[in-house]
Amino acid sequence: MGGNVITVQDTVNYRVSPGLEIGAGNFWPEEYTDEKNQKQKGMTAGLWILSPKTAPAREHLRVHEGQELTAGDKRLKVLEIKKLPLERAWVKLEILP
Amino acid sequence: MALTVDGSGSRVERNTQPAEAPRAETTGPKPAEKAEAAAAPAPAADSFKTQPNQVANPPIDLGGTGPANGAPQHGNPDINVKDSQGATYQDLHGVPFIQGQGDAKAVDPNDVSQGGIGDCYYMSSLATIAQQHPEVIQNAIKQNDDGTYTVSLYEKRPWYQPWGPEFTKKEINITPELPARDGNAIFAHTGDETNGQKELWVGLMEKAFAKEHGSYKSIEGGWGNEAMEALTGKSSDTYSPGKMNIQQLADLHTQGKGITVSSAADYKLGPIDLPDTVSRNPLYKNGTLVANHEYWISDVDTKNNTVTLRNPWGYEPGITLPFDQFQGAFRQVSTNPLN
Repeated sequence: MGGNVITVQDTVNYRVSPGLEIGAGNFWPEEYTDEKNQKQKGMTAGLWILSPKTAPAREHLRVHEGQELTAGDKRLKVLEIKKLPLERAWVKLEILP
Repeated sequence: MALTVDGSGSRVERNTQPAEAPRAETTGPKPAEKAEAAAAPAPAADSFKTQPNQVANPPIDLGGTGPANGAPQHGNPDINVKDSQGATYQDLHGVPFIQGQGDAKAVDPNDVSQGGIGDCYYMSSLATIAQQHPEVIQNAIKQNDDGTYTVSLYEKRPWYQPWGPEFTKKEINITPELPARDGNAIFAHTGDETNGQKELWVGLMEKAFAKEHGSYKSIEGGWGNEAMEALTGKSSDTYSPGKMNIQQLADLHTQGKGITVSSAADYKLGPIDLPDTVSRNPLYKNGTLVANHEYWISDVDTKNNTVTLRNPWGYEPGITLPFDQFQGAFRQVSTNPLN
């Protein structure tokens, strides 16, 4: 991992930098198509991205592990999506250099 | 602990909220039923309330680390949560209140922006109070000569103690520093800015609440009805959205009550996603709403039959839903008279 790693928990709103915020929620398993165009089933999460491009609204994305995305002026990679019993779910994101 | 099989919700960690209401209660009425409801006289005030809070939820325990004899304590609450890596207490060079552009008053709901901690129920409560009775918050924060602040909150009498006053005022002394990274608050964000100064009231109210509970971690998860009681010292009521009509909701808003609403819970059994409102309702699938979250109501429009909700994450415009969609997507309405 070359960049910073941030963890965004279920229903919270993480400020990555001034003007760029990422909210997370709606964690559930579902089918998705991965980067190799293969059908997969696994945990997914909703991200709500607030950036100068979208403000005052937020862009909503559903993401899975391994996915890369753009948030404002940053590239992010979804490293891990976890939902464990008796613990708040979270998504771990790497801010790519 | 709530009856959710999976414990990840925003308010499951210290509540005994019953499992989601039966489907019939959260599904919007059919058109014929709606017409009937609109024509019928409003039911008696209590007929659509849910059970008293004491039954559904234990009272918030504000007895933790607060000063036993009213003496000031300056210790900062612990900030160790999953998202707080690298954060420290920092002086953000702020003042409690700033009336920013577009603010009706210095204390304005637009100042509220939840950060990296799961206290949506507390942030939504602050926002609805800021809209309906901002003076409640203005009066709760007192700046002291030594640079500290004294914040007033209320402790509710435990349900098992049937005597004594229902609420006891607690004065919590805090320093102005807030958990931050590189000068930016990581939990409740700062509000307006002017002349290089940041507006701190949301972070100060959050810090006082965390201090009374012992840490920031300990305020993750909760309910709007309890948070509004802690903020106002007045009893809250809770309602099932499916049993209300829009006029009742509009009346509560017009009366100046604070109103927060709890979105549906997403139930899991290990890796299995159980069929529930969240898995069936397109408002969750398409990202209009976040499950296990507390919103606040900023407007009820009886002419157009819509409800406007605001997310305590802040900034974004309100979400306006037809009333039947609102009823189908939310599980609890919490209200408080505020003053």
